[in-house]
Amino acid sequence: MLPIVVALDVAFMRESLPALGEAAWVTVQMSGLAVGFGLVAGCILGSLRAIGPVGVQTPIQWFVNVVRGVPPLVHIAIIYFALPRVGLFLNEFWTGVAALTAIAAGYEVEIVRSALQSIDRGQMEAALSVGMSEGMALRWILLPQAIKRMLPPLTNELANVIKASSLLSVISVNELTKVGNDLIFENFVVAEVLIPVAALYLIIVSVLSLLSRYLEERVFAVP
Amino acid sequence: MQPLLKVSNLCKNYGSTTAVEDANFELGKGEQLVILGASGSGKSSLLRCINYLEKPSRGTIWLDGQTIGGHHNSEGTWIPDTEAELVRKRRDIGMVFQNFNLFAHLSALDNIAIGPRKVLKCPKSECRSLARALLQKVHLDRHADKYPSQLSGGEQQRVAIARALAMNPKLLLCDEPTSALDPRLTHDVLQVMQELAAEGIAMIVVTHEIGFARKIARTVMYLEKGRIVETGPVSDFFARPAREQTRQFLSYVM
Amino acid sequence: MDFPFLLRTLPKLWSPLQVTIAVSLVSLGLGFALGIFLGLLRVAIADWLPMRLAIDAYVWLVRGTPIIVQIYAAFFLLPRIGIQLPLFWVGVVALTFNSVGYQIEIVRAAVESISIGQREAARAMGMSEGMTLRSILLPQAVQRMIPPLTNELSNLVKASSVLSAIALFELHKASNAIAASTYKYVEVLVLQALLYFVVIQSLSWVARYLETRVFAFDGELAIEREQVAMVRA
Repeated sequence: MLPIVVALDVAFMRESLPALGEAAWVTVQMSGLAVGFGLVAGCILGSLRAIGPVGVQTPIQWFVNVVRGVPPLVHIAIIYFALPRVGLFLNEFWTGVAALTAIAAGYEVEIVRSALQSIDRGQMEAALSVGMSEGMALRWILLPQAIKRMLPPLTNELANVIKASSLLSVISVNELTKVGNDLIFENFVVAEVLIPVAALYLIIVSVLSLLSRYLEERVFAVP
Repeated sequence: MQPLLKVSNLCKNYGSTTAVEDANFELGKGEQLVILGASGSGKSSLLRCINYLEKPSRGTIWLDGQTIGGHHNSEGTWIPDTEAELVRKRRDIGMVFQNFNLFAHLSALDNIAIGPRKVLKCPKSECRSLARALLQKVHLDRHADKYPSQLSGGEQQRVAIARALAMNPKLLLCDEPTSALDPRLTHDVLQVMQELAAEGIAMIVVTHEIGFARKIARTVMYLEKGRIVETGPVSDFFARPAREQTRQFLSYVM
Repeated sequence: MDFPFLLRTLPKLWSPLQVTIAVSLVSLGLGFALGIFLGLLRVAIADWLPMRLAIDAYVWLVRGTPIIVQIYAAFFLLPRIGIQLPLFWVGVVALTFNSVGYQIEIVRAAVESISIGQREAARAMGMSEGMTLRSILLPQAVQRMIPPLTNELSNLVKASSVLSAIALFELHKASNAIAASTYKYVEVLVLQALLYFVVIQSLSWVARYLETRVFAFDGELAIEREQVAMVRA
C-alpha cells in the first residue's frame, strides 16, 4: 500500500478535484430527485399496501419483490433500453434519474408501509370514530405521524441511492464514477483518481448516515 | 317513543370463538347504560360492533331509526353500506377508548377541532372556538396547546371525551375509559362523565367502576361469555342481583 | 417477444449464471471466515480502542463507498502492487472486501442480541471471557446469523452483476454481449432479470423460512419457557 501513497501525483489530484466535485454534485442531484420521485410512488403504493384491499396488496408486494430481486444494474439497462422503445427520449441525466427512481421506489414502498404499520391501530380507530373515512384518516392522521418515522430510513435510502448512482457510469451518465473513470483512462493514473472519488462518496454517505442517526434519535427521543 | 338505539340478535364471532352471542337491548334518548362483566366477557366487542369498528357477524343495529352497516331493501334483502355511508353514520356515534388514542401529532385543541374541521368542513375559527368551549367543559382550558405526550392519562382521556363530543354525537360509547388510569386520575374523568350524564347525553359505558356505574347509569347490563345474562335498573341490580355469578362478580369488584 | 429466441438463448446463459453464483458463494464463504474473525474480535476487544477504531474504520469505508468503486480499486490497484489474478479472483477479492464489511456487523449484531443474562450466567459459573464467547455466545449467535447471511448472499448476487464493468463474463456481461450481437435487447433483458429474480427471490424465501420456522423458537421464547418451567418447579 505504501508505495502507492508515496508516489501520489498531488498536483494532478488538485487539478482534477473541481471536475470531480462537480460530478459529485450531479450525483447528489440525481439521487435526491430519484428519492423524491420514489417517495411519491412509495406513499401511494405503500399506503395501499398498508391499508388497501387485499387484492391490491399482493400485486404491490410482487412489485416490491421484483424491484428488490433484480440487480440495480439490470434496472438501469432496462430503463436505458426500454424508455426509447416506448417513445420516451430522455437525456442522460433524466435517464439516470428514471433508473434510480425505479431502484428507489421498491424500497421506499417498504419504508412507507412499515412506518404506517408502526403507528398504533388505535389512531385509525379514533379517526374513524370521529367520522373520518380511511382516506381522510390516512391523509390527516396516519401520514403526518408516519412521515417523522420515515425520515431516518429515507435519509439512509438516499445514501444507498447515491451509492447505486455510481452504476450509471455504465450508461455514460456524467456522475462521479464516470468522470473518475474518464480521468483514469485519459491520464493513466489510478490511485490519484480512486482516492478522491472514494473520499467524496464517503463524505456524502457519512453525512447522510449521521443525519439519519441524528433524526432517529431526535425524532424518537421526544415522545 | 322510538328508542335512540336498538340492538337485536347481535352476534360477533372471531373464527370459531364467539365474542358476543345474541345481544338484544334498547337505549332511550338521554339515557345511560353501563355494561359490566369480567374481562374477556365480550363487553368491548359488543361496544365496537355498535359503531362498526368491528363488523358484527349477525344482527341489526338501529340508531335513531336508521340501521347501521347497511339496510334492508323493499324485498327484505340486506344491502351493506358503502364505505362512505358507513363513515357518515359513524359521525353520530362518538367513541372514547381505553387507551385514549389521541392523535399524537396534534395539540389538545387540534385533536378536538380536527373532526369538525376535516369531516364537517367547518370554518377554522369556528372549529377552534368550539374546541375551546369543549376544553372548558372538561376543565382543561389551560392545556389547549399541549401535545398528548405532555398530558397526564386523566387529562388525555378528558381531551378524548371532548374530541368525541365535538362531532355532536347522538350517542357516546366509552370503552373502559378509566381502566388505564391510576385511581388518583380516575376521579376527574368520572366527574366529567357524570356531568355529561346529567346533561342528558346518551352513553354506553363499559367499566369496572361499580361506584361510578351506580351514579350515572339508569340501567346496568351484565355480560358473561358473550351473553347478556342480566339487565336491570341500577338499584335492583346492585341490591338484589338475580344470579349467583353476578353476586360473585359484584362481591369481587366492590 | 421472440420466444424461440428466448429458448435458444437460455442455455447460453447457463454457464454465466454459474459464474455469478460461484463468485457470490466463494465471496460469501471467504467473507464469513474474515467476518466472523473480525466481528468476534470487535465484540471481544471492545475496550481496546485502536483495534476497535481500525475495524470500525474498515466497516465505514466499505459501507460508505459504492461497490463499483471497490471493484475498480481491486481491478486497477492489485496489479500495481504486483498481484496478477484472473478476473474471477479479482471479482472475489472485491466482493469479499465488500462483504466482510457487512458480515462484521452481522456477527456483531447476532452476538450482541444474546441476552446479557447468558453472559452473566456464564461468568458466574467461572467461565473466562473467551470461553463464554466460544461455548455460550457463539453457538447461539450462529443460528441467528443464518437468515441475515442468506440475505447477504442475495446482495452478493446482485453486486456480482457489477463485475461486468471489469469484463468478467458473468450473467449480466454475458447478457449484454448476446444482446449486442443479436439486437434482441428486450428479450435478453427480460431473460436475465428473470434469472436474477428467481435466484434472489428464492434466497429471500429461504431467509424468511429460516427466520420464522427453524429459528423462531429460540431466544426470548426459549427463555420465557425456561422461566415458566422454573415457576412450576
